Amino acid sequence: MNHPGTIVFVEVGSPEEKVMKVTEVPESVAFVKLNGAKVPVVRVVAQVVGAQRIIVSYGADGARLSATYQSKS
Amino acid sequence: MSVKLGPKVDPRTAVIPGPTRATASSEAKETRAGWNPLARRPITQVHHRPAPGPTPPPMEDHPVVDHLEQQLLWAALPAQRQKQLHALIESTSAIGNRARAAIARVVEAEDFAGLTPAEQAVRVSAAAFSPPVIPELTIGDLENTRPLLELSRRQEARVRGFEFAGAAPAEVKVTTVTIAGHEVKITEATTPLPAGLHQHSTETIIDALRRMPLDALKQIQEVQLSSARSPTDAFYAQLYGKPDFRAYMNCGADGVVGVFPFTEAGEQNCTQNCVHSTHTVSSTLVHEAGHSWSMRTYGHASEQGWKDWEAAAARDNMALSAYAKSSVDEDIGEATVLYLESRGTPHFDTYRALYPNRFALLDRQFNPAAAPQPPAPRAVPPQFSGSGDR
Repeated sequence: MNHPGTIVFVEVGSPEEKVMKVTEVPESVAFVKLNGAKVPVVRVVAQVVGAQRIIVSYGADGARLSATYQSKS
Repeated sequence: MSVKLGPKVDPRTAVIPGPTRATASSEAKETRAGWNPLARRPITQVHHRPAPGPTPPPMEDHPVVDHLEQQLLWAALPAQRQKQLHALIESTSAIGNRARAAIARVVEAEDFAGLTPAEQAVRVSAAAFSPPVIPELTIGDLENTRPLLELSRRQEARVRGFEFAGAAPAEVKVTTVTIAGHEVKITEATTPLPAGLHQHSTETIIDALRRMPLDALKQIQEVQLSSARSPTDAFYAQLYGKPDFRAYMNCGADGVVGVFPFTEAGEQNCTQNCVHSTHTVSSTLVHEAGHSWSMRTYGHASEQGWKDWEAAAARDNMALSAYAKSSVDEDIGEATVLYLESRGTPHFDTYRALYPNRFALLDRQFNPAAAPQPPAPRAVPPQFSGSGDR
């Protein structure tokens, strides 16, 4: 599946949004592999919770595609 | 009027009395000394772990908190708030203890007696519910006393050429287990881990899966135990300015979970309340199961299910946890942990009283026979403040 071209990175609690071209990010960030198919990521929302950062990737239709839980250190 | 806070306080007093300015300190001390940790609410089942940081001392009896419903301020609370507050202060869980301690601090404040009942109600409500009853995250925050689910079948195989995310093809051990009738595949790297790093064993993951509520387990298809770092680490390290950023777990909407090597050796054998414990792994998977069912059932962002959930959350008028406030997705994930992890325990009714409208929707998902009819839709104000909102 083709990527629409850009990904918006958001950190909860920060007013800033960073928009990056898909060519500027690794493929493992730009796409999530679901059921054997590569689904484009268009929005990445990170939130710091305690000692962890939780990063959630969303698809073009607003669907939550995956969540990455940071290791404590 | 100076009314001493103590066992002889008339619970029908019109306005909750507070210590006078001259005696506030000594009386507050006396009140705390008078709390009898064994007198009224023995904490026999602590479903919620106390929050990190300073924990209030065990608090069981308090002359005002125990008779809150007989105070004038009670009438100033909306009916639903009364039900929620009643459930909270009567709860034998740690969240009940925390709330009672917070309310006690408020009513012992020097200026409290001079407030109107409506003002007192606002303060008491804020003390009990703000910040959220669950401070950060429900993941790993709930005790789990359920018996392990039955492991009925186990099959192992070696597979060559398997590709973990970001790693070269390698031989892996694939263990297929059937737990309570549900099949899960666990793929474990056989490549040696880099020095200083640790990874869960297949046995640990089987244990974590067996600790899950069955309704959540059904959402998990595969767990992959990699011996290589996540391919996203370098990018996120740079993006977030954290050179030591390391992903621990990645959960996809298809029920495939990736676990990456971690550094904390001491936590490997931890059973509760640490990031890499079996308990936390299990709890995290329950949270992710909440995303799986909601995506599958509610579908695309514009569909009615999400709006129904937002409306239910607005009617509950209370955050589930600080993390749940970030988006409707996370609210569902957190609610699913709370619902499934507490089901079958005495605390389930407490949580249902606190979050009745969300629990009604979860009934439709996990207990349709007992689910009430859906409420009529109505306009609600925006509930979620995070950037990941639908």
